[in-house]
Amino acid sequence: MSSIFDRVPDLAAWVAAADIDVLVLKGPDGSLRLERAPNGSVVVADRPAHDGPQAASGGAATKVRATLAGSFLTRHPVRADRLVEMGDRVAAGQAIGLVQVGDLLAPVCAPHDGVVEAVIAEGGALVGYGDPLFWLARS
Amino acid sequence: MDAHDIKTLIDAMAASDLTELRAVQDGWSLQLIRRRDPSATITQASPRPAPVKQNAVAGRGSRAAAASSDQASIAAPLGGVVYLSSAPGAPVLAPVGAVVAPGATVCIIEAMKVFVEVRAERAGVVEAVLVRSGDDVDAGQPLLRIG
Amino acid sequence: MFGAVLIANRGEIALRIQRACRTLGLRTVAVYSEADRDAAHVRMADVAICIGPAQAARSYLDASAILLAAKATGAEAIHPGYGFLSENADFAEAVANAGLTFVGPSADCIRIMGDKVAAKRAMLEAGVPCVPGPGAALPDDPDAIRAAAAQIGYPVILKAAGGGGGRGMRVVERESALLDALALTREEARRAFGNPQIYVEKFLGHPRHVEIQVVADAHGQAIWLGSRDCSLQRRHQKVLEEAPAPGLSATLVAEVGERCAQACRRIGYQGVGTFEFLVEDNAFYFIEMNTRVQVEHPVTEMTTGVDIVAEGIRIAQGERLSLSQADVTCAGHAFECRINAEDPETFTPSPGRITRFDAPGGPGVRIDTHVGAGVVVPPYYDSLIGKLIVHGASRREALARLRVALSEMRVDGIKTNLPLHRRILADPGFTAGGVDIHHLEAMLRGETAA
Repeated sequence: MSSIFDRVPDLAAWVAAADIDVLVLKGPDGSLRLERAPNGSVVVADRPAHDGPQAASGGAATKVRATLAGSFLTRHPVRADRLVEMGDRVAAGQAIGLVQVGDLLAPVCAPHDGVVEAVIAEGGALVGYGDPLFWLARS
Repeated sequence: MDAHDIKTLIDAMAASDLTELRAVQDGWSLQLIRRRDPSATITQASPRPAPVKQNAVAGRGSRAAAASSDQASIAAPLGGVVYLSSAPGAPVLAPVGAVVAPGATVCIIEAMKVFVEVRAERAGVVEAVLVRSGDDVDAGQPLLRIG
Repeated sequence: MFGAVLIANRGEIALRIQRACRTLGLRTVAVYSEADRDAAHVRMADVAICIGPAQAARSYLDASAILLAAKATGAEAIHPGYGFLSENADFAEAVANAGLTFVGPSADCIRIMGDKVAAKRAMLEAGVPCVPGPGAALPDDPDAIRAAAAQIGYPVILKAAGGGGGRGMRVVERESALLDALALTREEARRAFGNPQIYVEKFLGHPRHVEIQVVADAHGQAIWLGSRDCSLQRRHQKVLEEAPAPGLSATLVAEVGERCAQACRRIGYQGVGTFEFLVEDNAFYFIEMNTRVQVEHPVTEMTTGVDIVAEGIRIAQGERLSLSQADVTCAGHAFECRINAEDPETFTPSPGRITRFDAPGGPGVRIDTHVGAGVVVPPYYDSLIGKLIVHGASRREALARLRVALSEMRVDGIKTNLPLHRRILADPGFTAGGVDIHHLEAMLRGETAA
């Protein structure tokens, strides 16, 4: 199913035509805020989710979060290379990070196809449930 | 909520003089705001979708819904987790199309280990159920629309 | 020995346990749900980690998430507090199997005390007085059931072995109603608790709720720390507690207390615990043992000077009790008001943002709370937002201090039961002392003399 977040230009046109100033849309895997500037142009003001980079395209990026508490790893303990680098294109379900608890290594999987925009958490950091780990842009 | 649903709501707003519209469906929420009053400031208070959400927005949303026509919505009397049936597996208390009598229990809100019954104030037909069982709701958030 | 304690709880008790850990020089690990990101117990811990979403089932009740968090943070012990997983024997066992210390009794002790029939049998063997009735579940034979009830004498009460908190109980006034009531209770128990075992005992009409605090170490030592009266209840929820229980013979209380300590030694109990009794006509009848710290433990701390929570942690570290029975004294009198976020008239929950929080002060006044102005009380957990505890040299002095404290205390933004506590303090029956467990509900119905 194509995402509504891919249709920002349409949304912008619609709110402008309807003389609506602010649109806030929240869904299960993202959120979007459109705000009309006084001159009538529509700007993607922010995602209510705060600290990530702005997708220049206006398409929303997804924050990939930890689903359990543990140490966040960007590489497998026996491997030298990181699972993903910024800018990498990844497929839905691909392991892009790991959370380690003792001997357990739980994968952090990409929820959809996309491009890794940013690695938010530091490798080796203790992360908790819901902590943001990656920004994943839709592609 | 897909593009078509959103367009329909935007068109509805365009055709009216509402200043705010808020819709919740299937885990999606849409808020549309029109700044008639230049002094009005938009507050999207919570930076993350926190479980306890900003009551002010919900409050305004419910007013907008009530003002939209002669339809009335039943608002949550307190914040908590809403359930549309009285027990898991039990029939939905007030599905769309159901005729409710004044005082009928239309849903249940669980807060602090207590189940509070939400009742219809007047008779009517359930036109829309605006929440899902298990959703977190704020005090004042519209739950059902009664026509 | 352990150096870091994970506190598997929230709210005021998480803070209380943190304080005890810090006074003992232990590091604290807080776990929290997404609804508690800004909570005091998270802010004040040495390490804090989010373990799940707001629903307790996926956070504070999620044993595997808590064990993983302990492993991830290097915690060596887990303190369960009260509620949540505190009386879950499987959890205690899982903690031990993970190589960690469970701050509390063994899984076996929790299991015995969690089964009313097994607990009663253990108490009878230790000489703790119990409510008259067979110490075993009722058989299926109708004649044997009638005989058991007749031997006790009507009215009797049917109780589900797996029940508690006032659920799974039914009073039977006469023999003709016995078998129908039993069938109904059995079916409810089977559905609600997955355990259809029912037992029968004497129904007490006007009992008080009196409990004995105990502490036992891993070296076979056990002491009792006096009595508490928790008769002021609404729907089986305690509202206001005091220590010691007023108007009871000290000799009688000491005799029961000693038997409780003896029972602890017999079953190899370790940690803090509470024996709960119904008391009618100066006779004690055991109801259940709580194998954890109680909400109302501070009133006993005030009258004995013992830091009960710290003592429980020291015992889990394998240390000996810091005092003997001869060292235990009861000085003065203490009260505790449970401050709940609820409507004082309708008892509807009242979650939301606290806009103002004025705490009372003065001699003998203690507040255990995790909230303050600006704090949002979430709707997902119980409504306790704090405890007002007051101590005085006598019951009379403590009452006077409590009245002043209640008049000073103010919480705005949400509704609280502070007005209810002020009403209770004006009730002649309560101020006289020794009311029964039905008194508060009668007062709320307007049936007591004002």
